[in-house]
Amino acid sequence: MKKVLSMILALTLTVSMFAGCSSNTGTSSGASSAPGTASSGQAPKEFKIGFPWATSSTDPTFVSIVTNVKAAVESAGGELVLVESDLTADSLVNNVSDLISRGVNGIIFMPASDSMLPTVDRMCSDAGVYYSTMFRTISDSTIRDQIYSSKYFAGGCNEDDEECAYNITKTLASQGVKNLCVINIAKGDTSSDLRDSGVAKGIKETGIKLLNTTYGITVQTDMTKTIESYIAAYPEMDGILIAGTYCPAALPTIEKALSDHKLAGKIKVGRIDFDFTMGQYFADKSFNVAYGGQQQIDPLLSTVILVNSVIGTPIVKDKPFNLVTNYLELTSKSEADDFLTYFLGDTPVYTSDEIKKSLIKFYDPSISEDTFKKTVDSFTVADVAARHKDLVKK
Amino acid sequence: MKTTLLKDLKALLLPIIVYCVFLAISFERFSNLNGIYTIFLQSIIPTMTAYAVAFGYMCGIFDFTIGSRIIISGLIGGIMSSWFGLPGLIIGCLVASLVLSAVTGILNWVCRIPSLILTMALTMIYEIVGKNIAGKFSFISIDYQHAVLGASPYIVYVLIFATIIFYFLFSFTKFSYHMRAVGSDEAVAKNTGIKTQFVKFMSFVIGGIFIAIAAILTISQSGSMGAQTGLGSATLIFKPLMGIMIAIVLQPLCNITFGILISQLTLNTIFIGLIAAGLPDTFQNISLGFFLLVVMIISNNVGGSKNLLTKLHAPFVTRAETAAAGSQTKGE
Repeated sequence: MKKVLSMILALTLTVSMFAGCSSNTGTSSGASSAPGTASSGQAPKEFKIGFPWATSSTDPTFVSIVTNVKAAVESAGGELVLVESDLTADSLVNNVSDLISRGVNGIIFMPASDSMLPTVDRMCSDAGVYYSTMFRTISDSTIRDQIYSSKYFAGGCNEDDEECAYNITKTLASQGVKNLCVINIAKGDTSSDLRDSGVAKGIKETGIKLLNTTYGITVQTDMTKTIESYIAAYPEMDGILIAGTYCPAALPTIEKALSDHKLAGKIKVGRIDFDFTMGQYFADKSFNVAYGGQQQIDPLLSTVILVNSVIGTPIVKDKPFNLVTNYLELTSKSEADDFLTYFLGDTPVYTSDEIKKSLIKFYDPSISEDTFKKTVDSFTVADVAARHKDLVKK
Repeated sequence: MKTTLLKDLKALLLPIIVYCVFLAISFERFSNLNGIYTIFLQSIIPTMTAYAVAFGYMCGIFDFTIGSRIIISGLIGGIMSSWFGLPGLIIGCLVASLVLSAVTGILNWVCRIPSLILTMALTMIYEIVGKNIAGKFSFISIDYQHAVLGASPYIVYVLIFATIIFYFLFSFTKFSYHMRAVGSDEAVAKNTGIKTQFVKFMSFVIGGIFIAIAAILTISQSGSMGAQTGLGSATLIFKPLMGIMIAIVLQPLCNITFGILISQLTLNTIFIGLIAAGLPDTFQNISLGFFLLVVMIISNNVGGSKNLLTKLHAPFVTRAETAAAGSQTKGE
C-alpha cells in the first residue's frame, strides 16, 4: 500500500512539475509574441550598437552624423561603440569583424559598394548581430534579393539621389542655366551614378547642354584647376552643379575661382549636400540652390530602425524596413543660417527623448511604418528650428 | 650659349606638340589665348610643389609628408594673415614649413628607417595636427585682399623669383652636388667624406622653402585651406612627381629647373585639352598615365629605339645607295 501511495505521490509531483514547465513555457511564448514591450515602465535589455565612421574628421557634417546616431542609440538606453574607418569597402568589412568581436548587438554603416554586403551579411548572420545601412540603396538585384532575405538585415534609409539630381537640374534650368558643367563623386559610387542619371534626365527634359563632368576631386588645387579649365574651355558656361564632392571647402574654392575671373554671381551655382558656408554666398547671390539635409535624418532614422530590431520590436515583422528620406531645398540665407544652427550644432535633429516618445516601438506599440513616413514628410529645416528653438543656443 | 638655348627650345617642343594635338582635336575651344594663359597659371603651383619634391627625390628620399606640410603651413599662414595681413601669411607659411621640415629631417636622421615608412607615418600625424589647427569647420579662409599672390600677375612674379632660387640652389651649390652623390650611391658618397645624413637633413629644410611658397600660392589661389585625413594630402604630390620624372627624361635637353616647368605645362595642357574635348574625367586619368608611360618607355629605351630606327631605315638607305651606284655605272 505504501508503495502504491508513494508511486501516486511521485507521479503527482512529476505531473505537477511538467505542468509548471508547461505554464512557464506559455508565459514565455506569450512574451515573445510582443517582445520587449514596456507594459509597466520597463526598459529594454542593455545593448551596444557599433558604428564604423570617419571619427577623426572634424567636418561638421561628419560630426553631426555621429551626434544623430548617438541620440538614436541612447533613446532606448543603448551604448554606441565607434570605430575609425576610412569608409572604403575593405576597411568597413574589417570594422564589422572588429565590432562583432567586441560584442555589439547591432551595426550601422554606410556601404561603400553593393559587393561588400554579402560578406557583411555572412559575418553578421554567423554572429547573430543585426545590421542596418544608411545613405545607400542596393542597386544589384541579385545582392538586393540576398540581403533582403537575411534575418539579420534590419533595413535602413536612403535617398532618391536620381530624383534629387533631376530636381536640382530643373531648378537650375528655371534660373536660366543653359550650359552646365558638373562635378561629382568618383564613378562607381552608388550615389554618384544615380545622381549622374538624374542630371541626364533633367538635361533631357529641360534642353540644357551638359558641357563636361569631372569626378572624384578631393583636393582644393584640383577643384580650382577644374573650374579654371571650365572657364577657359567653355566661355558659354552659365551653370555649375556640384552633384557631390569630398573636397574640403569646395564651395569657397569654387566661389574664389569664379570671383578671380569676375564671374561670381554671373554663373549659377547649385550643389547637392548642404555646405556650412553656403549662407554667405546665398547673401552675395553667387550661390543659387542647394539640396540636402538628409545627412542628419538618414543616419538617425537608420539607427532607430536598427535599434528597434535589436531590442526585439522591429518596425516591420520578418522583413527589413527600408525608408526613403527626402532632400530639402534651400534657396535663401535665412534657411541656410537655420540649417547651420539646428542641423550642425551639438543637438541632433531629433533628441533622444523625442525619439523615445515617437519612434521606439518598445515604448509605444502603435508605432509603425506610417509613423516613420509621416516623420520624414514633416521633416524640414523650419520644423527642426521650431522644435528646438529653446534647446539650441544661437 | 646658343646650343643651350637651342636645347631648351627643343624641350619646349613637348608642350607645344601636345598643344597642337589638342588644337587639331578641338580648335574652336582650344585656340583662345585665355586657354594658353590658364595652362601657364595652373602650372605654377605644381611646379613649386615639384621643386620641393625634387630635393628629396634627388638624394633618394621618397617624402610623403610634402602634401601635409603644405596644408599645415597654409593653415598657419591663414591664421597669421588674419592678424598681420599679407606679411603674416608669408611669415606664417615660411616659419611653419621650415619648422616641420626640420622636424621631419631630424627624425629621418635619428630614426634611420626607410624614408617611405617614416614619412608615411609622419603624414598621418601631420594630417591630424592640420585637422586640429583647421578647427571645427576643417578649413581656414583668408580675406581676398590678402590673397593677391595667388592671382595674376603676382603669381608670375613669385614663379620667376622661386625659379631663380631653385636654379641657383640646384645648379651652382656644393650642396646640390653632394645631394646628387647621396642619391646616386649613399655608401660611395659616405666614403668620399660627404656627411650623407646632414645632406638629407638639408634637403628637407631647403625643400621646405618651396613648400612654403606652394602653401602661400595654394591658400591665396583657393581663398582657403582645408585639412585632409586618411593620407588624402598625398594626392598633392602625385602630379608634381610625374613632372619630375618627365623633367629627368628632358635633362639631356634642358636644366631640371626648366624641365619641371615644361613638364607641368605639358601635363596641364593634357588636362585642359581633355576637358575642352569634352572627354570624361576617367579618360583624363588614363591619358595622363599613358603619357607618363610613353615618356618613360621612350627615355629608358633610347639606345634601343635608335637601333630600331636605324634598322628600319637601313633597307631604304641600301636600296637608294644601290640605285645611285647603278645610275652612276650607266652614266659611265
